[in-house]
Order: sequence, then structure tokens, then C-alpha cells
Amino acid sequence: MAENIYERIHNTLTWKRIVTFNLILFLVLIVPISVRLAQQTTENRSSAAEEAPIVIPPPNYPVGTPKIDRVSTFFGKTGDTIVVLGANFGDYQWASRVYVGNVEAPKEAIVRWSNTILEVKIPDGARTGQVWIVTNNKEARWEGSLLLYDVARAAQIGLQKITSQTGNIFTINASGTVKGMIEISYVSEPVEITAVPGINITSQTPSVDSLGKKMKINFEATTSLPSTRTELASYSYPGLGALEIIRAELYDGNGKIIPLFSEPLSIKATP
Amino acid sequence: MAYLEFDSGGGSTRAIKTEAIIKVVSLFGFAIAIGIFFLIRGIFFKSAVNQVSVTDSFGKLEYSAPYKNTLYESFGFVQEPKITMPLKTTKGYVDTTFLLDSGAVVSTLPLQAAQDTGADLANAKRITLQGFSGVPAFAYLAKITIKIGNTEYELPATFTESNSTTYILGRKGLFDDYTINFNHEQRVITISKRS
Repeated sequence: MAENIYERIHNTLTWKRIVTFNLILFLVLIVPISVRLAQQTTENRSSAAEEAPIVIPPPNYPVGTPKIDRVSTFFGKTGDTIVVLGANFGDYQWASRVYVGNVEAPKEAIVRWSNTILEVKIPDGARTGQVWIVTNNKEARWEGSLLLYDVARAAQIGLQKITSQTGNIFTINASGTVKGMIEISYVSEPVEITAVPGINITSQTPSVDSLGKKMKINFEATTSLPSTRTELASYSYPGLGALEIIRAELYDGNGKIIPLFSEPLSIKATP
Repeated sequence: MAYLEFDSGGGSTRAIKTEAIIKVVSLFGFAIAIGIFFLIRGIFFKSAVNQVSVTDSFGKLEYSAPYKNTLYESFGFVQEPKITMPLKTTKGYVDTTFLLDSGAVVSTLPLQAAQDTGADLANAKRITLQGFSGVPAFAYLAKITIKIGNTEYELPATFTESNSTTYILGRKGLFDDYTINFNHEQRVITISKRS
């Protein structure tokens, strides 16, 4: 009598074979499953640390007139952050505006706004020019110029330390410069600046602002500066605290301002 | 019709049984050997506390280093997750001690290190970092290259002019791509990656 299909399945698949097959299947799959589980990222979700919404109080502008003491640093590229230091900016931006390189900085460009410190990214469209803020219809302007630069074409200025108390002020790629201005902040005095031959210092004006002492040095060159590294002056000071170039401007024979920057490692001299 | 019967005998049956058992054991011999290896590995090949070990094979990279003890005037000895790794400089790789800081957004190095690593700060993007005093310090976004085992790894870093800056390895880049385990009980830091 011929076996039907059910009898053949029943006779062929014994319990022993079923268990053996499942065991082999387990052994074959256990390795990739284990690897997959081991590599899987564990995700923890919690609502305990949800970000609290920022609450801005209603406008309460300072009574005093806003004032900009310094803009650090005096040069930059689009997207770089500058720090505006002064007073009476208001604790929050509210409806105040800040202009960087002659254009208004959008809200997204404001990194931090406080009563004495603004951190702003140089916005798209900015060019070498002024920095000012308008707070409660009162305006404060920085007396200097924010210099937008391109490393390949801009001149460079810096301080080179020689000893803990002495060093020199130099320029690189400043061809065409016939006059200029350097403002240096310092802690200890006296600070003595001595021009090298070919450079005449026309004025040295010490002053003090809310951040400390500074000295503005105006100079003229008897012949326009070359593009090579050129020493402008030497400095000496008691060697306490740092000397830092907080502002500099170079002008060509037509009175046009020359793009300028300073390497972060040479903008400041420490003892 | 005649039937021929074959009697194998008792001794022959035992030999076949023994052979069958050996065959069955041999069938799973590899799995048993691997299992024994993993069991004794934890006992005989465990990293010691004061030992840096690097495993860089079979697509698995693992770097283990002990915690370092630092003596603070106010706090006494504090266990610090500091690791020494080769940092790419203009003069080749130099062993540099970094603080592994899961709280830092990005790796941070002192401004002076830019000179050593050859980072071009004039072209780097300038940002500000907040210090404890609230006074912002400038930092410059660039890249550094470190070596984990024999693998070179480039990650974003900031060079900051803040005086208090040490060499810090932060989350961006490193913690994204590597699993970092701070094992305080074993006093060991493990940086691992599976390719």
C-alpha cells in the first residue's frame, strides 16, 4: 500500500530530527544576533531634563547713555565673533540694535547680550567700517574702524617679544603705508615706545577706560613701508601684565585705510 | 529463507559508543574552545591598573589607560581621567596628556599649541568661550590629529587664549565615533571602536 504524504512527513520528521534542526539553526544564528545586539545603540529617553523656555522680562533700559569703550578684536572675517565692551547696553537686547561693519547684525548673529558685553558675529555683507549700537533710541559709536580682512591680501601687525620687558612692533605686507595709528593696552607703567629710523611718532596719548590703561600712538613713515617684515618701533615696560594691540589702522598715500589683521599669537605680549 | 545475524559483542559496542561521544564532542569542539577562552580571558588577560593597553585588530580598536592621581591644595588627591596620546605636530607625533572631558563640547588646546601643531589661526573661524568669571575668551576653530593605537584620527579643536586652558579632549568628533568608558571601580578609561 502506498504511503500518503502525511504518513511520509510523520515518518521522516521525527522529534529527534526536529530538535537537531532547531539546534543547528540556533547555532548558526546566535553569532550574528549577538553581534547585532552588542552593536545596537542604547537609547535612553527622559523628559526630566527638558529645556526650559527662556523668559525675557519686559524692557527696562538703563538710564545712562550707552558707551562703547573697546571692540575686541579690531579685525575679523565674516562669521568671526567680536566682543563689544562698554556700558549701558541693557541686560537684554529687547529692541536694541547693533551695527557691525556698517550693517545691522541680525538676531541670529548675537551670541550674547549683557549690559557691558556684547558678543556678535560679523554678519554677511559687513565691510570695513564702524561699529555702533542703538539702545532705547540712544546711540553709541566706537571711535575705531572694524577691519575686515583677507589673509592673502591684508597687512599684518604684531608684537614680538625679545625679553620679558622689551620687544618690538612690526608689520608684514604693509606696502604703501605712509602713516598709521596703534593703540596698546597695558597694566604696568611706564611704557616707552621708541620709533626706529624712518618712522616718526607724531603723538603718544595715554588714556584710561573702564577696562584699564591704554596708549594711542600716531606715526608717519618717511618713505612708504615695504611688503617685507618691517620693524616700526621698540617697546619697553616693567614686565608686569600683558601688552596688547587693541586697535591699529594703517593708511596709504591717498589716505585710504589698508586691510589689516594680527595673528592671535602676536597680538599680545606677556612677560 | 535463511537470515544471517551478526553479533558485534559487548566490547565492540563500547568502542563505538566512546567513538560516538568523541565525535559529538569534536563536533562542538570549536565552540567549547572559544567559550573556555572567553572565560579565562577575564582572569589571565585583564588590564592592570597602571598599564596602558592598545588592541588594534580584527576591526576592533581599544585603548585602555589608567586614571591619573592629581594632588590639589584644597581637595587632596583626585582621580583624573587624563590620557597620554600622540598629537600630530610639525615635528611629528608628540606624546601629549589630555584631560578626557565628557562635559566639554569640543576639544580645546592652549593657543601656544597652535604653533606646535601648525594650525593656521589667521584663517580659522574665531568664536568666544565663556569662562567661570563670565568674561569671554577668544578661541579659534581648527583641527588636530591624534593617534589612537595605530589609527590616525582628525577631530575639530579650538585653540583658546584663556590662560587656564589645558589640553582637553571633548565630545565633538571623539565621543561621536568612539565608545568611552570611565570605569571608576577599575580606575581605567577605555576608548573603543568597532569598524
